[in-house]
Amino acid sequence: MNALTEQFLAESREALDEIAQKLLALEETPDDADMLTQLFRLVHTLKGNCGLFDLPEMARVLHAGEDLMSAVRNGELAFSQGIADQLLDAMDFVRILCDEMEADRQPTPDMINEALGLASALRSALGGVQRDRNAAPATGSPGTSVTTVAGHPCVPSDWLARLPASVQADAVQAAAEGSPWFWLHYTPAEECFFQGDDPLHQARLTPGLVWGGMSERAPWPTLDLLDAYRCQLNFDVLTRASAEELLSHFRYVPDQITVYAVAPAPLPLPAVETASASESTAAAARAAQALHDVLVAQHEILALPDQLQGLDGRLEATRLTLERCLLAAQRAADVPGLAHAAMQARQNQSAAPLAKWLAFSFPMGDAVVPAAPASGPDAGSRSARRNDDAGNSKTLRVEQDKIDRLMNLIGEMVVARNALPYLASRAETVYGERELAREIKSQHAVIHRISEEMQDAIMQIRMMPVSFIFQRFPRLVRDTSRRLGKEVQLLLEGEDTAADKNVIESLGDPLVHIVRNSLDHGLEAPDVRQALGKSRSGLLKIAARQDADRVLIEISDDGRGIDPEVVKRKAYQKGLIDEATLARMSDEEAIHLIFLPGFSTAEAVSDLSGRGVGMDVVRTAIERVNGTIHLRSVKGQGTVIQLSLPLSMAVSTVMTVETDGQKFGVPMNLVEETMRIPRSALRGIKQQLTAVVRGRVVPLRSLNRLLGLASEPMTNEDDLLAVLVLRIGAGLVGILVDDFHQTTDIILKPMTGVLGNLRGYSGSALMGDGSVLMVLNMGEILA
Amino acid sequence: MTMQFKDKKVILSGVVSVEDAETLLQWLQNHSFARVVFSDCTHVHPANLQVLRAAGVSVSAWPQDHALAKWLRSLFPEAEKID
Repeated sequence: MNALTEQFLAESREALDEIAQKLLALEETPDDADMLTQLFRLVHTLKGNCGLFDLPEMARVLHAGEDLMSAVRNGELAFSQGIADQLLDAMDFVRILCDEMEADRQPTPDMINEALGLASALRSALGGVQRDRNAAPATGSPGTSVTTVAGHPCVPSDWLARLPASVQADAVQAAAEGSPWFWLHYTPAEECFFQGDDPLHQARLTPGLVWGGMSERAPWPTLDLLDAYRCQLNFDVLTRASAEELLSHFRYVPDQITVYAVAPAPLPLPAVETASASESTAAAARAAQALHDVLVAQHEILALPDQLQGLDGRLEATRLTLERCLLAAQRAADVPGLAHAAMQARQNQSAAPLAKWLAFSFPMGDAVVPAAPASGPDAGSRSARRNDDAGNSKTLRVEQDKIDRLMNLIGEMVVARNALPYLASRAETVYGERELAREIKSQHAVIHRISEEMQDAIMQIRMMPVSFIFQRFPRLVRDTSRRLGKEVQLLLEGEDTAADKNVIESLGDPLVHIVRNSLDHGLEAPDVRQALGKSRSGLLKIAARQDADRVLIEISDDGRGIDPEVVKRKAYQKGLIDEATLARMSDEEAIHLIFLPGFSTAEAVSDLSGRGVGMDVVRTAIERVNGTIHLRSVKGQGTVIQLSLPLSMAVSTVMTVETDGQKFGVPMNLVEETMRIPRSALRGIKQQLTAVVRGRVVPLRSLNRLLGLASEPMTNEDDLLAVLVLRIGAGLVGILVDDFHQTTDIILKPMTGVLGNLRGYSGSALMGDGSVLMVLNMGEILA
Repeated sequence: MTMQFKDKKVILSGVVSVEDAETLLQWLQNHSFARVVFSDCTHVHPANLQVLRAAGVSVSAWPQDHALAKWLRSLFPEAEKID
């Protein structure tokens, strides 16, 4: 199940709970207009949401519910307990559909029927208030005849006359053989063309189609009065498929079809003879229910006090009934046992032996105690359904504030924990308590482990995979590219990359903007591409990956790219830059002009993008979550937009290194290893210092040099240099530092204000001893 | 080309979509006693059929697509052989 479905289910259940709660509250205060509005909105939202999925049944019921609620809200209908009951029933049904969806099951024909029933019940509650616009047109009733075959009315004989003679004969033959064909009368709604339906196509695809025909509802008006887009045709299909198959084929329009069975002969035979396979199972179910009812009745009779008059008669009646039940259930072998029990009962003048036999021979479980009169199967399942609700949900929806509070607390705890090693070293150096220092250290290890796990657990709660936003793109790209007449191949990568919920959510809209821009402005039309020697279909790639404490999202296309000259000129024309800037601007700077507010290169405003609100909105949205946006583009070859966002604001691990007497933090996930190498192992290749690390040549850079410090790297007492080996991108880089210190968990505070421009630092952190550690942004420093 | 007009004939081919009904209606309003050729047609959106029926267009050739032909024959009267 994908994240969208999961979210839909979670939200729907929440909405259903709320609806139920509000309905119950409304029964107390039916005049609460506010509550009514809220209720309407809930139902409305739920209906809207289910439109995203293939859930015609749910939509049908909710739509009817929404209409009813709207009538109540507008004061056209008084809220009553009856309405509440109906809505509650409908919501129960929706909940079942949710369960089915979660279990990845298709709704059964019963459910399709139930949806119809519930919807029409809701609509009938609307009564005269609002004539049902979607009401099924009168389904031409088959004369006065009420004869049915296999539970369906018979096809009127004049309809059969439309069939070719041979088909007619086959149909009657099939019915006589006990597997009647069905005649499906399909009366599409008049406005169905507007909903994108093609009823002829739908009818042609009917499973088991034998014959199909169309007919007109009324004589045609003259051409100038004709509304070609109001459906005036009816469709008839003769099919070998079962009624269930038909129902599922027409599950979007179950109220527009009527299923008739073809009678075996001009004069219909009793239905029993011609029960189809599916019907016989239904018959068996009915028989089982009847047997069940009879047995419950016997239980009740036998439970009557023996002292009542007429015990013998009751016993004999029960014995006879049970004997017939046995025969009906084809258990003739059990009859002697019954006779024996009955005899014992008569001798003892007690119903107990017979009751015991009954309980033994027809075990019915606890559900059927004699005291409880058999409730109809429907009522039973319905009440069971309500009781099942509790405790089903495995997800817990918690307000984000609560989790944020946890995050803050664990952050403080990590800092507090980091004070322990300092305490240990003070105990040792200042007070000379070596033993105590050791104990503090071991306690620190324990607290460290626990807080680590806790922090991880809290992080997990907030983490979401980027697939949450990625999954909308295949559809978006497909629809958009089709609209634009372009061929686009979409490639998604790294969908598992997870980041904080806030970050992920803030990504959605900017990404949509960027993708639309790429489709609209970036990728060329197939013919243009072909002329340029590119493949006809353009490539759009959206890749996500984690890079240290950032999530990188790269949207690249192989389209026409951005022409710096065009951008510069446009910006100048729009007065966004002056002449001097225009002249000295580099290409790289020029293409970044598209992020200026009010900039748009599109010749014409299309409905997709090009209103000049695109890229600056994207930039602002990304910057709001401390993200950065970077653009690369080669004219004629394509554009790459890279979004870099923080993984989360949570705790990160850094390694502390020392150089020139200062301490710096280096993100631990970059650190490949730390090593000490003798000065003699350094080799110079041209200007570049290198060393051989585990058989590989690794370039060495001095941190002092990178930071602009004058001093040379120091060696330790054994004349060994400290090399911090980092993995940057795909390669390794050795950083020469003076000394290594411990790794620490810190809460990284990004640099703000004037310091925010120092791109060499990703932030600062408060250490356990109260000092401030600057954390290096190695990617930036080495670039 | 799903719809071609020739003298008093409209020649349909491939899948005739719902959008085509508008064009068809306009043309038929200006051409009475028209005939329709379905020969190379594989599917017709019912909106088009309604227009053809309302205009009283007679069928000059049924679709080669056997299944579609059966459906159409149920709606249009059998044409008298002319061409």
